[in-house]
Amino acid sequence: MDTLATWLSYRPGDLLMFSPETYRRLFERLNLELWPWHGLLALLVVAMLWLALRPERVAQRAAGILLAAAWAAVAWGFFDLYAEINLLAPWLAGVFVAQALAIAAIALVGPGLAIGYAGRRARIGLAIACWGLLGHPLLLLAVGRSPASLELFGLAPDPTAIATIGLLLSSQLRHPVPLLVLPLAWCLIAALTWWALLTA
Amino acid sequence: MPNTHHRRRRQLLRAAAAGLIAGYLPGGSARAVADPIIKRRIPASGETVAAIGMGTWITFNVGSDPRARQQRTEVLRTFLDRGGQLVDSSPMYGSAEAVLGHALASIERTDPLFAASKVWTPDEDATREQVARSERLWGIDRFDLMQVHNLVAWEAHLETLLAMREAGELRYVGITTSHGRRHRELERIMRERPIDFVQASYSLANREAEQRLLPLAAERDIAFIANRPFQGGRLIDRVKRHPFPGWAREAGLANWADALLKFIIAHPAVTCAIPATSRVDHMRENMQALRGPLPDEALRERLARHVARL
Ligand SMILES: NC(=O)c1ccc[n+]([C@@H]2O[C@H](COP(=O)([O-])OP(=O)(O)OC[C@H]3O[C@@H](n4cnc5c(N)ncnc54)[C@H](OP(=O)(O)O)[C@@H]3O)[C@@H](O)[C@H]2O)c1
Repeated sequence: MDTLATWLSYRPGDLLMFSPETYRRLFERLNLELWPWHGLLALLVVAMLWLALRPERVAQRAAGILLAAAWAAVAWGFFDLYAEINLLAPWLAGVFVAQALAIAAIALVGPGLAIGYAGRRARIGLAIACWGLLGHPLLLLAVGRSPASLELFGLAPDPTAIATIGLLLSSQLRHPVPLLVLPLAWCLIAALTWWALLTA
Repeated sequence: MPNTHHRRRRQLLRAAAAGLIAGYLPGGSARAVADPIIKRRIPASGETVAAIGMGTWITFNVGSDPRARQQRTEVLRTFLDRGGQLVDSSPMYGSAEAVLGHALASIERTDPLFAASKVWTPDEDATREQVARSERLWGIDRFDLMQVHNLVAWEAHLETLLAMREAGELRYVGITTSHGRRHRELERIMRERPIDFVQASYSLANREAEQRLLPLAAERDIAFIANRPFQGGRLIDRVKRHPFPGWAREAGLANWADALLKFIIAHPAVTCAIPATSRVDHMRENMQALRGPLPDEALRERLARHVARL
């Protein structure tokens, strides 16, 4: 009872163990490490979309591999830095590793990633994908983030999760839901983190 | 309680004596600023320590970021240059201990640091291991103070820490809590165990500790560290939106940070307040509280009333 009361007395801001500034610096450092290869990142994203729109199975498989690689890259790069300041990060990185493996499995032994814009689900999916790829970074810019600390697909977890939800919705997968669980779980974690950061 | 008044007088006298002696102590004297530093006696030994320390929760958890590390080094340098001694951290604070170690290694120190960290693990057998890890991260041979963090697995850790104290592997042993949590259990430990320090939240806006913890600390001769002196920043952010009152300035208080911290260390049972900051300019403000006159009881109450109305 005492323990429960103790836990209930915590507020989200109390559990945050780093400052908003230190969190923002993570992205600045990631971008600095990637520089000047941002062009290549953009090229890979365009390649992924183009391949996912092609009718050939091999192209769709390649698109899936690129999406899995984005999750692996976030697990590798972002979470490596994040683990320095958040004791929970190694566990959270597991979300990204698991999702990378799941998408890789779909790409290698399943149908791959084939997207389209026919139907309501697909169009909503594409809108969400665009949000993750472009809208999210632009929104951050609009609320005052510096270009140097932008959160980008394949580098930062939030846009990667958002874009993936969109791509999976617009894909021709018959049962996309199991693959959506981890990205949605991440969005929940991200929302809690932002809530804590904004009320810190 | 008929002898409360007596005890309070005794405490006040003792505190006054500690303040008086501190002016003649070596350590603070070679500083750039000539004013005597406000020091407090650690009851267990009679040794004195500067009454403003430094916390590291959030502020020193910056990971390997070279730019932020350099900047935090300047924060620590400012603290030490102005007579600060007690630095408080914990394995719970992410990279804070590693960042501290990096900063300490790049600062040439002549005056003694008072190194305080914590044991924070549910593993009852990992006490020594965790102390050793913290020593490595800080780059020191021995901690001045090792505390059981938030009463986590406290019985086992306390036993090991007390044995380590006996063996000279650390100098003082303490226990911590915050936000007013589990004060009853803390009181029991203060009554029953031979601890040297207790750490809990105490600030102008959170005076719960005055009810039982502070009198008990004085009665049991336990040094008291006040954490969250600015309520995690909320208190100082709130008061800084208002002008600093002229009557407080006339009473010798320099600014809001000075007033909030001196309010705390003027309590006779408080040994040290440990504000955390990531900024050099804030550190300068906070370290003003180590010098100049302390508010008397009337001024403390006036400050509390004034802040409550803001
Ligand atoms: N259970 C435990 O053992 C426990 C629990 C809580 C705390 N603690 C210890 O106690 C220390 C202090 O508590 P805390 O860090 O939670 O809170 P705190 O010291 O009350 O407040 C820290 C906040 O105050 C701001 N601040 C500091 N000086 C300022 C100034 N002059 N002007 C304006 N803002 C200022 C800092 O922001 P800037 O960086 O912008 O200056 C920071 O956000 C901790 O760091 C930790 O070492 C221990």
